[in-house]
Amino acid sequence: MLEIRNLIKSYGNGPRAVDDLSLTVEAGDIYGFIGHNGAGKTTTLRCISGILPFDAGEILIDGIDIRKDPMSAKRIMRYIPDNPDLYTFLTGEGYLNFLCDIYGIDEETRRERIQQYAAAFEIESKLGDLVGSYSHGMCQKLALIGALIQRPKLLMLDEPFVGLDPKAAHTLKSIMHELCENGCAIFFSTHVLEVAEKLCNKIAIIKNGKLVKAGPMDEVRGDNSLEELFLELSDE
Amino acid sequence: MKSFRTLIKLYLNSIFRFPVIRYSRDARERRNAVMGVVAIGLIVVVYGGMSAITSYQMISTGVDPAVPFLMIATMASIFALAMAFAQGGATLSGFADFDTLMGMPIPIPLIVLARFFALYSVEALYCAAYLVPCGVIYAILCAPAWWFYPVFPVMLLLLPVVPVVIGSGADLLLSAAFARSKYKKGITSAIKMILLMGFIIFAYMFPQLSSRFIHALGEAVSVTSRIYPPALWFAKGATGSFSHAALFIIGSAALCALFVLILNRTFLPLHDRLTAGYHVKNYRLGSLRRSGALQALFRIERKRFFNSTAWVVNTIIGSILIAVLGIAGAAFSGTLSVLLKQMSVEAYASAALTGVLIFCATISPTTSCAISMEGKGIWIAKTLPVSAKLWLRAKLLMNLLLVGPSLLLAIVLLTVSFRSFLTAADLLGVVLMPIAALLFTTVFGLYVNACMPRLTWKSDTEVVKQSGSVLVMLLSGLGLVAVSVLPALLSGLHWLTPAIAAAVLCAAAAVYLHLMKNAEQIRRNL
Repeated sequence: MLEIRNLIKSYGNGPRAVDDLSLTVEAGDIYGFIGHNGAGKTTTLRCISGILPFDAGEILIDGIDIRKDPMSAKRIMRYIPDNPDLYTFLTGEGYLNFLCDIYGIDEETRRERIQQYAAAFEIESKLGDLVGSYSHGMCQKLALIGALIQRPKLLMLDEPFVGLDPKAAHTLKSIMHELCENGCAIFFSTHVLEVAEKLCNKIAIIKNGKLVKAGPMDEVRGDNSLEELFLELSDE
Repeated sequence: MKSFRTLIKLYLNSIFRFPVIRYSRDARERRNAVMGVVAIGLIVVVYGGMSAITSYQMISTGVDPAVPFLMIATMASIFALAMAFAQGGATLSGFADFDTLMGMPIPIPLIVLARFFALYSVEALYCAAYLVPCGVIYAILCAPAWWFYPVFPVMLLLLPVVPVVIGSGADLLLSAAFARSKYKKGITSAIKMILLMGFIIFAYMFPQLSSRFIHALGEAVSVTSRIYPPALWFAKGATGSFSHAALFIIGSAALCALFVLILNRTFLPLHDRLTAGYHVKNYRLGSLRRSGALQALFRIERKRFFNSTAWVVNTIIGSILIAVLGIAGAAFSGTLSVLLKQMSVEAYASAALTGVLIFCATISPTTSCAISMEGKGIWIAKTLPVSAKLWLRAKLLMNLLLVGPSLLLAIVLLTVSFRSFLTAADLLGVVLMPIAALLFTTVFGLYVNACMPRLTWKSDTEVVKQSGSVLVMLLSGLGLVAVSVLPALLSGLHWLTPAIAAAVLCAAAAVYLHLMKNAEQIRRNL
């Protein structure tokens, strides 16, 4: 579903933020992406989603090159940043309806999906309020609903659990499992290693822009816990 | 005091973006920041130049020196009042880094004072741009008493205080009154527009009467004191009346102190009220009607525009003025025609009509900050599966639909009303030139904003009022008026205006094609 080949990205004349990174995420994967602050996780996610141009390499989403055909690629994937700045001048409903218009979702389906996910994240009663009045967690929930109603083939999340209350975090984990059972691929960054360990079937560790380990969770982790492995790699 | 200095530095850095200029590793971002400062500098130079020419012409031809001081101080004060009215509340109490600042061990009075200073400093810069040249010319030509030299700078520094207090105080009251309404943005924007329009129409009486009071200070005093009395104290104080200077200084300082004191006492509850959101009770999912991508993008542009009071006030004035001028011109065409004949200025009718229409249509296109207004939410536009062309077209459409209808209405009304003064070439010029100017400014505004985007901001005022692209477009608008009207006016060749209109249309088409060709790259590079 997602294939990254030799991705290189630098900002200006600075060092490489992502250095020759190659990775494959398959349909049904919940792929965790971990690394220290400034390791290049967000830059990688932003390159995949078409937000950032990159210097070299190739990114294929379901076989579509993000550089050659960004529209087709964006139609089947969704990215949620770690701090989603949404349109504060819209109501929650207005924001979701806007996304549905862009993704061409028919009225019946959009109503059904909005109701389904708004109920799951318990913000049905808040959809009439302006997004500007939402807390960080509510913005996070709304951004997630906006991504989920589109039923993407590839879902990329940057620190999705930050700001979510425990119940919403649990709901998100359940939805992630459900999506993957239906053939969706999820690629997400996190600092919460316990969550990554329990939730992901595959994991990638990035350090100073370079991928240091990647693959199925059990293979990468070996006999160690993910935390032990991460600390060991960080100290190297 | 150190905290106060730090807060002021913080705010000035956010306006002039000195840290970006100094530390950014992104050459493009650094260039944009430099261009922003250069644009502010250019505006100051243009205002200063206009003020210098006016002052010199008046004083050197024997007009009482108080007149230019009075005129320029009144204009500068009205400008400062309008700006404070448009943005004062948000700058003083509803600012984005409120939580960060209030969480710091800084006394609230210092924060209040710093916020007031933040609002005041920009207006002070523009007031200085207007009045320093006037003061210098007065000092050279009239050799004033010694006390002019220490007192005038103090008066100059205090000039924006009263308008800023009145404007921001009114804005705070208005915002607080409608804070809990579902339509607070719409209501406050509408009220502000009505009040500002009323004020502008009132102020319009001022230049109309200026020819009469050029040689008669008495009449000037009576007219201006009705518009803005403190400007009269300023003018008299600057030109020799120590009592008026003292009255102006003490009055301004006292009002400022009183305002800061009241604001200090009401700061927290006021912020609480201003930031209180409207919450729907017993909400049910609405109709969720389906629309196309362009329609959806345009809806976002429209809602974003009308949600920003500063943006609305800054840009919609031109559109409303055009409509008012068109209707008023048609309604009073008989009287105006007689007046034109009496003054023997019929030959200038087409130039005046064209110039006024172009000025109003291009005064501040929404496109000059439409990209910057995306702010940190730009990630949404970048990740949506819509072409960048469509995204840009929605922004272009917003400005065209905002100004276009009133411009067409005014063109029809004015050309029909004043047809007897217009030759065929004039008619073509009056019809084509404003339309060409609108099209050009719309696409050029977007181009300039694409070249100078500012996506990191705390208050929309930073983008709408102080960003480089907006200031560049302000200068471009003035330049376009000159380029469109002056050649025909100076040469007497009436067909020149339609020819320039054709050239401007071609330029607009070229900029549009360039935008469309590079749309993906523009969006990607943001």
